[in-house]
Formats: sequence, C-alpha cells, structure tokens
Amino acid sequence: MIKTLTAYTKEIDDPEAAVAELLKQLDLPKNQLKHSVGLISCYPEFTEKETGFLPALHKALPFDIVGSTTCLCATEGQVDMIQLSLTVLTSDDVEFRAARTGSVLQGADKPVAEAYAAATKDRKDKPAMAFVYVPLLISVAGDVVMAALDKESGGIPLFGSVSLDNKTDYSTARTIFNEEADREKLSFVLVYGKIDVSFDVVSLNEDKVIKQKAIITASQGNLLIGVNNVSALEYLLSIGLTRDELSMGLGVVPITVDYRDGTQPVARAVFTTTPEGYAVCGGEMPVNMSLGVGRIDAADVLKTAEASAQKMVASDGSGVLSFSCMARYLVLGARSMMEAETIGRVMSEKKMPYQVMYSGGEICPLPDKNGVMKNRLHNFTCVMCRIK
Amino acid sequence: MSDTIENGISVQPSPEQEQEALRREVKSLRRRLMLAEDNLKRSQMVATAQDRVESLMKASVKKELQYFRLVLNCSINIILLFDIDGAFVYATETFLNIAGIRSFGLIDGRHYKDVLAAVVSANELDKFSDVVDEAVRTQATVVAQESIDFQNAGNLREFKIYVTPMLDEHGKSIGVMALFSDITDLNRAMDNANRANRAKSEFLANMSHEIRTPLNAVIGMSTIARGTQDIEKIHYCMDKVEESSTHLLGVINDILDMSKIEADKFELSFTEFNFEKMLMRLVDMMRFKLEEKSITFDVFCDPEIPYSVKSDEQRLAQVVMNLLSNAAKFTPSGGTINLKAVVKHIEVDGTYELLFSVKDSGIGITQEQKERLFKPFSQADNSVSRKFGGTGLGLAISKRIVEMMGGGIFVESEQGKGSEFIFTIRVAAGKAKLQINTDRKKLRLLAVDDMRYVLEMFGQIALKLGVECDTADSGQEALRLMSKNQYDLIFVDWKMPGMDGLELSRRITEKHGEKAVVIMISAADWSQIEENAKAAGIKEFIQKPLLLPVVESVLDKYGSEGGTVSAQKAADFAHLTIMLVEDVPLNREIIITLLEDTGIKIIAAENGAEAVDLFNEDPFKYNLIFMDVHMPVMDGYEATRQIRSLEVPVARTVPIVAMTANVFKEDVEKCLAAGMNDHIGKPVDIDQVIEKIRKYTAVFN
Repeated sequence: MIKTLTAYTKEIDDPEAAVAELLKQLDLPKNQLKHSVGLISCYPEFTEKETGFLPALHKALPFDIVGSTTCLCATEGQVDMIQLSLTVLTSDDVEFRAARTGSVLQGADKPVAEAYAAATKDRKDKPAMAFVYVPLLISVAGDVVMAALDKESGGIPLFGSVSLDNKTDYSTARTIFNEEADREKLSFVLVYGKIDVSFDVVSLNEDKVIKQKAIITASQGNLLIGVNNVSALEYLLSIGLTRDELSMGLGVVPITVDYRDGTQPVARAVFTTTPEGYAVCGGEMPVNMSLGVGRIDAADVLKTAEASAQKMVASDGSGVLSFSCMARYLVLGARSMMEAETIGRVMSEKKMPYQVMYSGGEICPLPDKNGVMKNRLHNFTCVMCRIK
Repeated sequence: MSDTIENGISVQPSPEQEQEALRREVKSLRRRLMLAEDNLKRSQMVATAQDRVESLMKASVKKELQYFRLVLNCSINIILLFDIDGAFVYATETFLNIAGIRSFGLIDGRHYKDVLAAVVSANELDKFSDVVDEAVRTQATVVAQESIDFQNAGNLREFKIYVTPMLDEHGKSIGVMALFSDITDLNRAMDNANRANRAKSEFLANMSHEIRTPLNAVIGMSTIARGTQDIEKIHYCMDKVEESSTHLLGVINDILDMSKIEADKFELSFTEFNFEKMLMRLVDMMRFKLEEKSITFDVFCDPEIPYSVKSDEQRLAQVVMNLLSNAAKFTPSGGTINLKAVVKHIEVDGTYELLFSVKDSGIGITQEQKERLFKPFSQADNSVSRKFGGTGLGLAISKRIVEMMGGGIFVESEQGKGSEFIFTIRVAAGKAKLQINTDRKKLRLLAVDDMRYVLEMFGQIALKLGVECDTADSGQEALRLMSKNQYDLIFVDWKMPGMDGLELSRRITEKHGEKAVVIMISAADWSQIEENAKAAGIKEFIQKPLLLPVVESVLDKYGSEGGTVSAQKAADFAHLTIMLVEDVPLNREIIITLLEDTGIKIIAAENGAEAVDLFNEDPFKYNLIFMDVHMPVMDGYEATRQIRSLEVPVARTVPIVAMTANVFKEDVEKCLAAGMNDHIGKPVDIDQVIEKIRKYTAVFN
C-alpha cells in the first residue's frame, strides 16, 4: 500500500522558506514510511540554478525527487502558475527506484538502457510500473523516449508527462532529478512491489473529430510525411487549415490516430511544419494508421476532466496524479485554471490527495482489444492515475 | 508588509525590509503579468485555430448530410420519416412520384395519415398505421407485407414494409422511419424460378423415361438376338436396336443442345450449301416414316431461293426436321403434311428472308398449349410426352436457332384441325451457282402430270438446268406432243385420270422402243409398282416431291448428247486404302464391317504413334486417314501434327478426317487447327462416312 503526501509552495524568491513550508506540510517524521519518493511539478523558475531551490529541497528530503516543469500545477486546493507541487509516495511494502538518463537528444535507446540497468542492477524482480518525466524536444518525439523505456522494462505500465513551460519555444521546460533540472534527460521512478493503480484517459470527443478520415502513408517517428499519398502539409491545407495555424508551434490542431489494435484512438498535436511539407507532431505517427482532424473546446475540457476525476474518486485510493495537455489549458482562455480547479474540487470533496499539472505530452497506458495494456503518449488529453 | 510580533511586542518592519518586500511583490506581479500576457496571446491563437477546425467540422457534417441525402434520393425504395407526432420530416422521390406529389414542401410537417389517406385506400392506411403504432410501442423494427395500389391506379404492388422507431439517448421514441420495398417483381421472379425449377424436375423425370425406354429396347433386343438362331428374328431385333439407338442419339443431342443454350454457349457455324439438296435429304429422311402412316407429303420450294445459300445447314435442317417429325407424330394415318420454303423478302443488301411452313392435318393445339410450346422443359402437355414421346426441347431449340438466324417462329393452330408452324430466317446468297451442263443443252424433256403445279415446277427446274421442257396434263396430250416432237426423257406421273402413267409408258415404249427413256414420278413406294413399271418399259423411278437435285441426278444418269443413254459409272472404292486410327476395338470393328462391302482396304492403327509410324513406313499407301482424337500414347491432334510435319510432300496433302465423339463446334475447329481436313461425329453415320470417302478420294477415281 502506498500513502500519498502532498505539499505546495509559491515561495520562489526564498528557497529556504519554500523548503521549510513544504516540510511543514509533509510532516515527514509523522507520515514517512519505509520507502519514499517525491514527484514534483513546478513553475520553471524553481529549477533555475540561481535560485538554489532544488539543491535545498534535495538536501532536506531523505529520498529521491523526480518531476518536471509545467505552466500550471495544483494540489491541496491551490492552483497557480507560479507554484511548486510536491507529491510524496511513501510505503512500507512498495519500493521506489529513481533514475536519470543521459541526454536523449542523439537517441533514447542507449541512455535509457544504461539508466535502467543502473537502477535495476541489484534487483531481480521486475518493476510493477514507472512514473516517467520525458524531456520536451522538438527533434525527438516523447514517445520515442517512452518506447525506449517500454522496451527496456518489458512493457510495464508507464504513467507520466512530457516537460512543459510557459514559453512558445519551450526553452525552460526541464525534467527534474533531485537537485538537477535538465532539458534533454529522462527522469523516472521504478515502482516495485504489489501496487494497486488504475488509469483513466479522456481526450477528444469523437463527435468533434471530422468524419472524413485519412490514412498515414509516410512517416518517420513524430514526423508526419505523407497522408493519402500527398505530403502532410498538402493534406492539412486541403482540408482547410492554414500554414499559420500549422506552424505556430503550439500544437493547437488536434488529430487522432487510430492504431487499429483495439485501443482507443490517440490524440496528437501538430506542432509545426517543415519546409519539406512535413508536419512535426506530438508523438509517433505510424504508417497505415488512420488519422482524423478534430477540435476541443472549454466545455469539453471541463466536462471530460470532471468525469474522469469522478471516476478516480469513485473507488478508494490514497492519491491521484492528473496530467493534462497544455492545449486543454490554452483552450480555456481566460478561465485557464478551471480544469485544475474542477479536478481539485472533486478530489477535495472526497478528501483525496492529488496533484494536477499540465504537460507537453501525457503518458498513460491503454488496454487493447485483448485487455493488454499498451503504453501510449497522448496529446490534448487528461490522464489520471489513482494510487492505492 | 505587516508588523511582526517579537516577545509580545509588535515590531515595525525596517525600511529595508519593507523595501525588500515591495521589491518581491513587484517582481511577482511582473512575472504574473508576463505570464498572463503570454497566455492570452497563445489562447487567442488557439481559439482562432479551434474556430477554423469548427468550421471545418461544420463543413464535414454538411458534407456527410449531403452523402446521406444522396443515398436517400437515390433509393428505389419508398422511405418516409415522421416525427413522434406523425408529421412528415422526409420522403424519398420514389414516394413523391408514386403518390403524385409534386414536391416534398406540399407535405412537409403534415400528418402522415392525412397525406396517405389521399393516395391509398382506408384499409391499406389502417394496416400501415397499426404497424407504425406497434413499432413505436415496442421500440423495435416491425416488418409487414402489404399489397398497395397507390392512387388507385390499378397497379397493385406487393410491398415489404419495415417500420423502425428512432430512439433518443434515453431510449425514448422520437421519430419513425418507414421503408417500403417493392417486392412485386421479386415475387414474380421467384414464382418464375419455382415454375422453371418444377419444369426442370419434370423434365428430368421425363428424360429418365426417354433415355431408359430406348436403352431398354437396345438391351432387351440384344439379349433376344443373342438367344435365338432364327435369322429373321435376329434381323428384326437388330432393326429395333438401330431404331432405338437412333432415337436415343436424338434425345441426347437435344439435351446437349439445350444445355448449351442455357449456358449461352450455343453457336452457329455458317457455311455455303445447296439449299434444295438439303431439303431433298430431309424429304428422303422423312419419306419412310410418312409412307408408313400413309401421310400425303407435299413440298414446295420457291424457285427464287438461291441455288446456294450461306447459313448453318445442319441447324437449319434440324429445325425443319423437328417440325416435320412433330407433324408426322401428331398427324393421323391418311393425313397430309405440306412443307413450303419461299422467299419472303429480299433486302437491299441482298439478304434473303426465307419463310418456311410445315402444315399438317394433325390433332392441333390449344391457345394455352401454344403459349408454352416454345419454352424449354415444357411440352404442350406432360401427357403428350407420355403418349407421343419426345423431350419437349425440340421447339425451344428450334426457336433459339431461328432467332440466331435472324428470324422468328410461331404457330397457327386449331385443335382437331391441324397446325401450321411457320418460321423465318435470314440467309445470304452463296457464291456457287448452278452449273449448266453443256451436254444437257440439246436435251428435250416432256413432263406429264395432271397436277398443274407439278408441271410448273418442272418448267422452272428445266429452265434452271438449261434444258428444253414441254408439259402435258394428260396421257393423250403427251402422245400428241410425242407424235410431233422427239424427247430424250419423258417424266410420267403414275396416277392420272384417264390414261394412267403405266398405260402411257406402255404406249410410248410400243411406239418409240428403247430410245424413249421413261421416268416414272410418284409419291408411292417403287416396290408396289416395280414389276408392272418395268414391264411397261419404265427405266427409272423418282419419288415426289419433285426437287431440282432429283431431276438433275436423272439427267446426269440418262441424259447425254444425242439423247443416248449412258449410266454414270458407279463409284468404285475397291482400289482405295484407308488408315483407320482408333483405340477402341469395337469401334474399329464397326467401321471395318460397315465398309466391308465397298472393297476398301483398311489398315488399322491403335493409337496416334502407331499411325505416324505406319504412315512413315509407306506414305503413298493411304488415300485417306480416319483419325480418332482421344487415344492413349498419342492423341489424334498430335498424330496429325506429326504426320503433317513429315518431309514427304504427300504428308501435307493426305486427307485426314477426324472420327470422334467430340462433336461441338470448338472440337471441330480444334481438329481443323491440328491439320485435319474434316470431321465425322460419333456415332458414325455410314452415309456420311461414304460421302467423306467420295469427297476426299475423288481424285483417285
């Protein structure tokens, strides 16, 4: 059984005060069990070296911390852009191994394999799952990194997020491992022991996906090269989208990809287009899969988030992690905090500890037609994990 | 910055502290302001993109609706959509057309009962309303079948009606769709298919009978023949075996033809042939059967019909033969049958439309029987097949043949008074023309008959053959003409009022002696009058009906320059050597036995390889090769190809005639393609065999 502790701080200018605030909320002497790990989401400035915040926190906590930057996070009813949320998973029977890879910019397989080997070197048993924090890189799709870990771990369920910030060039988006934050490295926590977790994935409403589907005819990882035997750009322009919308770098045009293996279609964002007419997407775009352009609005975001949160609290649990797509945050416009507030309200009503954060890609497994969980990276999605 | 409490005393923050707090506050506000601006900018971009996608989606939905509308508009079914109150929401064009409603706007929103009341009967509407009510009540599709005459137009149609309720997300009925599928034609087609199926079943039963009966005769008569020493009885049995086998062959041919017609594989093979010779062959074939029943048989062939025509001779003969056989079958003893072939029309391109008529004084047929007559697997009455035999396929096959020849077939009949089957075909005139034998030019004929049309026909035939011909309608008139003129040949009818043919012949012979060649014409059997006729000096006998080839053969036999008689030398085959390539011993034996009397030397080979070896040993030995096709070791095609490829020149000219049970057009073509000259189908007809021998060995005579 895992016990979930949560804490937050908005103190960004005084690291010592911020750490003290967190420790006070966690009350570790009273709550900490045998094995623990900390999961962080925070405003990027918390991870700047000059602030000295992460070293101070790492020094204060008797366990590893992993996580990533975000544009907005929430816990304990507190929703803010300039905030740090800390969730501590602690247990007597479940163990945690935190790890950090080298840079994945030149390929994920090797650094992931090395980090995984190091993390598991003294263990013979297989982890039950992992919490993952993938760096946001335009040139390396999040699911390429995810796939490397999936392969290395033998397909254990992966739940996590792709790092994010508030900038259009994502220059301050970082993953966190103890006192260090980095733009190119994967952080993850392997969970060992008998765990009881459940997942939920809410994304685009099928009614809001254009009915006329297309087929991906050429691709390379997250690079969508051809659709219906024309270039990706040509196809997207042919259905009425404009070059500006496709290249604004925000991933504002959702497309769904059906893997045709019985898993529900996965939403993908088109981040930008290349001079060759390719589309850079938020995840892999496998050839022969069908593709549909869709939309999501504020009402959908709130409705699906509330439904998913309700599902999470319908059963007993010790805490809920909720990672939601930046696009969902943006479509809320002036009400940008409302999704996090909605989830927070549902959780608070049931006194369920929680952490909400926005991400550049949501990692959560989906069951295929045979019920086998397949790890997927999503966009435009809210993924939740209930820990018991 | 607020005061702090230290040791119970309120402590004012220092100016530095206040300054620091203010600085942090400003910094925080700046951060938030910057973030808020960024968020706003990005949210606006997202909103724009989302709006665009929304408009795309609306266009997509509109397109989808267009597709659905297209599907509905193109539906051949009547589809009606009502809301839960029964008000029209949609109707397909099919409904608007059948109901005579100009546009949907006229019924849009009106209650379906009000609309339908104007176009269907009250009873039909009540039944439909019940179905709609049941579908709404049960929230499930209800299927019904109704006969509806829309607009009371006298066009009662059978509809299968599917009424399906439209349910909302809570399962509540919010509308209804009614689909009317017109199954009238389907039902008719099904009835027809069932009828055809029944007819085929009956046909199979009939065929079983038709095939078993002659087979029974063949087996039975063979058994009897084997068990007796009485030579007359053996002959009798053999006659019956031959008769039954011939009949069986006809049945099988009919079945094969019909199966080819049904499979759309029936083809004609157009060749040029002598029209009257074809008719003569048919007449010869029918003569015996008709004489047996004492049926008077008249034939008229329009002299305008070209000497040679281009059509499928075998199939045309099959049609005429079928009609004559039917006429013979259904005409009682002492009745009459007339066969007539005339030119109906000559088209501008020179195509002849020929009309054939076979008229009998038989039992006739009813109107109902007429309607089924030309349909396959249905005789006029199934009892007919039991009483008169036959497959019931002949007329259906004939109909198909004449249709393929560009014509049609019909029947005029009155029960008890006889029938007339008439058909037309289109033929092209052949290139071959009647060759006028210059030896005949000096011949002068006299034709004596009391029937005026016979004399006219004689006149026309003589004209065509290039001989002079006088006619006399009595014996006295003939004698008068003979007293003035000299005739080389005198054709005399047997039965004439006053002086009959025998008496006239006697008087001619008495007066002119052997110089006068008297030919007797009669419909009667020669054997009946042979003795008296020979005594009266009659040299030859020809049977009516009178056709050009008959007269021509007599002229060839007796006519020559100066009017001297010179009998044509009969074909002599004794010097011929034929190779018979046949793997089945019984078949070899049949051919050898059939040709025994001709004196032809027959060398047999048991397969193609043996035939090639035999031919190679002495290529000049053989005047003709009869080649079976399916044989072990080497088949007939390969054997022919190998013989034709031998270096000796005669290998390329020796006539090779296929003798095979493969009788379809493509089989014949395959034989010719392999290098054979001709084809004879099994079971073999000895006359056909002789004809081929004569044709291909003429040069050796």
